[in-house]
Amino acid sequence: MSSRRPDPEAEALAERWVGLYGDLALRTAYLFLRDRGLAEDCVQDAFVSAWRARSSLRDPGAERAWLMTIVANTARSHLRRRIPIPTDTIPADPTTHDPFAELALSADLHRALDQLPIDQREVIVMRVYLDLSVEETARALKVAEGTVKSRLSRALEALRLLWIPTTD
Amino acid sequence: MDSDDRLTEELGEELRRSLAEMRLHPEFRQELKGRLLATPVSRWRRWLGAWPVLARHPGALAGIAVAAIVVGVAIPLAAALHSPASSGRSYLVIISPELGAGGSKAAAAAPAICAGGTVHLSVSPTQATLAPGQSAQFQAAESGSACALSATVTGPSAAGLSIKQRPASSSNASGVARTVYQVSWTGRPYAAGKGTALTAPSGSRETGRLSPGTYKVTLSVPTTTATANIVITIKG
Repeated sequence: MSSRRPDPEAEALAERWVGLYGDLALRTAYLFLRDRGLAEDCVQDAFVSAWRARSSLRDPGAERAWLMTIVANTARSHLRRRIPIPTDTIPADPTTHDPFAELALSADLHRALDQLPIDQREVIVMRVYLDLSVEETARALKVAEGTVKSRLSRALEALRLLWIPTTD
Repeated sequence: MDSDDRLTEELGEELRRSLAEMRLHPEFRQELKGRLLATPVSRWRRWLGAWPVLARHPGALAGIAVAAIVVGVAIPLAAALHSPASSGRSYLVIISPELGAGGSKAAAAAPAICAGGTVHLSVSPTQATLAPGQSAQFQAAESGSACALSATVTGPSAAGLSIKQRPASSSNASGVARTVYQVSWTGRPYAAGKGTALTAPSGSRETGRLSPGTYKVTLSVPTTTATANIVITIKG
């Protein structure tokens, strides 16, 4: 067991990351994974990866985008590892629903986002929810900026047919 | 503002509004902070950061990588291939106390239910010599949990060693469960890969036949610190 005292600078950084970005990271991961437990696992994995690589963050002003990109990429890899469940075999029993899903997203939006292909959903999360720039999104997803724009455009086109915004 | 911008804005607002209540639990926050503070910066990055010349000349890394492969892989591999009979390796056998009548399979998989006190595990005899196809019997006695024993063999079977429980088992009034096991060595080649319970790191990735020598088989009762060893000598 190490009895080393925690470095105050590291402590302050951990405090800031968890305090400032923890909830946002959870919500971002949730938008990808739709499961609170998986989202928490993802946040933990992403933060630990980011922590190990923190020396690679050159621009402190880009901290939020950098960290959220790691969260999004971790969520995407969790998503790829997950065994897909065919939705047509899920019984329509309300007791089997993820209670957090009901709390978190309106049913309409939930359904609408579910119908988008994953690459379009990724762009929605990064461009619309996280408000990352086209450049940041392209870098995070490792695609061309034009691809980000076209995916967003297609996603919005589909959502226009699938979702009616609430006006309250 | 065009219709795409409007929809983007409405969608963003809706997502932010509907997720606003989702927050990390305070315990999770604390745990996460603790986890971060316990995680060191990647050694590789720290090492690279300490060598600015390398950062400027990544080509030099190739030379270092080759040297690392020679030192880390080739030399130990050559040493392993030319080493005499390996000895002193350990294989792990899990001895699980089983529930008596009425116990379910799931319950048997949770030996803590059986635990009634400090578990002691002993074995007799403590050594055996085996040639290919030969076997030896030993008796395991477990006290403290008043449950029957059963052996789960993971590592040894992967190394050509197997342990079978003999029909005769008993449990006396003093709560000592005795079970007779038969250790056999098939002599067949084995491939010990990931997931086996070989406790010797040097043996965990080997492929081949067990070299003649002595091997320690460790018996343990899950969830307890009770262990006992038998020494198996393999004859070529």
